[in-house]
Amino acid sequence: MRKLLFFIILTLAFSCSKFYENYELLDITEIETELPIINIGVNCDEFNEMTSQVDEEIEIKGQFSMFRNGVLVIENEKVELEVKGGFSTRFSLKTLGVKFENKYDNSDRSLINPNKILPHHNLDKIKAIRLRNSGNDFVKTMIKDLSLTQLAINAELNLDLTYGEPVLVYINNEFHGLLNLRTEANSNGMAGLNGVKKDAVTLAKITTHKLIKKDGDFDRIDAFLEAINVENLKYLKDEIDIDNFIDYIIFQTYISNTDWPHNNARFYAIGQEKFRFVLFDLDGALRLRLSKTPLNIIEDKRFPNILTDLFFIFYAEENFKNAFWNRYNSILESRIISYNNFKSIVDANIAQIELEIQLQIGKHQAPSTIIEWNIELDKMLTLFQYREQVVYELVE
Amino acid sequence: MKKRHFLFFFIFTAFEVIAQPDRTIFLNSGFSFNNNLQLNAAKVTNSKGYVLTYGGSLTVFSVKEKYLSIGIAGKTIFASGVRNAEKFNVVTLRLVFPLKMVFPLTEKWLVSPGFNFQNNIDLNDPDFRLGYKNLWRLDYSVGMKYLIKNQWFMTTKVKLNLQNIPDVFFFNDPKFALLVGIEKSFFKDTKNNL
Repeated sequence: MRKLLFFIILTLAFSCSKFYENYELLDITEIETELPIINIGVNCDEFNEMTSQVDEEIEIKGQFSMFRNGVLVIENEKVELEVKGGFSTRFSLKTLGVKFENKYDNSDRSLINPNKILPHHNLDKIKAIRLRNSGNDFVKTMIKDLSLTQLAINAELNLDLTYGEPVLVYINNEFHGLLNLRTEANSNGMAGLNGVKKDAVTLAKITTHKLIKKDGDFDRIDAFLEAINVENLKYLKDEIDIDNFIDYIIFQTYISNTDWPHNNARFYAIGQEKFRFVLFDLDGALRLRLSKTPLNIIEDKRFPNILTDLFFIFYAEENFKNAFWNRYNSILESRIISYNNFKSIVDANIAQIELEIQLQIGKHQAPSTIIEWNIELDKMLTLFQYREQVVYELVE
Repeated sequence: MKKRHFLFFFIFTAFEVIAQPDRTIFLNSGFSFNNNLQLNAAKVTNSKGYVLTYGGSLTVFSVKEKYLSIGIAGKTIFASGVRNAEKFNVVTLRLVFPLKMVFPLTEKWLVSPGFNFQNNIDLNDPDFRLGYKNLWRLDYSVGMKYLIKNQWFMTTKVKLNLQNIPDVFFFNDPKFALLVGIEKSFFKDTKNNL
């Protein structure tokens, strides 16, 4: 009896799926990859200290080089590196923030070259990028955030967001990992997208426990927060880009992003222009609360937050309510956000990294095997398909 | 309203546990398999598994010699198959909550139809939370028990899942299973002994 109990407890302790298929670690120098390759030269000791003490916010200096199709397109640009992210810093492969000493001239698209750029965005000057481990999706698909963001871009919604693509990253000529090169969602990123200097940006971020005023006119942020607090709708109307706000809420609720709105939310303004919201870090989508209505998703009773409050101040007004649902319906009718569109994006991203993911498996065991990767991809697509049906039924 | 009935049922059955402290431990093993499985748009062939379940159950309600039992069990599945010409092997653990009625047919033979609730995704997966779509699955089961001696039984079971769950959730725990095993019952109240 005791042995049986011991056996049960032992098995419960190893409760994850384990795959025993062996895949060889391919030699990186022999890969004929179509992915861009980034090599960052750093002091090894400093790099190890930075990646092992993630709470210390250590910044180190490095030299950034990049290859596209085997051609050196960026050579030894001076950069500062820092580990970024929250929960995902626990993974063996960290997200790295890369800040160029001087703004990088990306007019030739050598640094970042997305398939499509929204008409109101500019990627000619890049101050900083992020080499992202796909956040909580790191041990799963590696492409959820990337694919959902591409879906938003292809839908041409009135959004400010990030642009990214998968890359192979080397540190001091040694393979480090498969990461997603992505523009920043911070003041540097928004300044770049809008073609202005960082000084012109006022930005605040909403995290799980607090609102952080990051840059710019803090008095204006305070006044904005006070208007939410006292439900001053007239003031808020003057301060917010309503069309952007509606599209932002629609997209986040459509994909059922449950690591939002209490977290992963930012709003910013250029000079005295209206506040707009930034879409980023979508790896919390398509996991939980997939049967919930869009309003349930925004409600987010777990963590009180100003974004929920802001929405329901507006939603109490009939004009806004009508505009919100009319826009939701028109997006659904247009089918610009649909399973088919999402699947074609995902398929393209899979094709891009299906060879390189084996290196990730070899080095980081994340995901554990190709089969496990396919299971996670299948789950992501299945849950998108389910969510699409739910949203159509609920909204219509 | 349904939730309230459910709660009353469990309070009621909890009192019955005190009155009817019959316990059973069991160990089953067998094979499981799928038909027409697809994973990420590619067909999976030869999808099968070797299954081992181990756990215990309590009698929570009895009328004459018929009784209802609920239990908890670990279920280890050694699944394998071929996808895109790649052979895979995977070991998975599931936590199972069996609920079954047991009817005696003769002095030695009993039949036990029931249900098995079990998790559909790994216990250590960050997505293992209430609210996850397809978090649970419900398998139907029918079993036969044969009394060998001294409350030791030999058992056979057939399990299947008829839910409309995406293929991906049957990948490492196939939907059909045939099991044989042994079971030991413990009785405090000897009048119910078989």
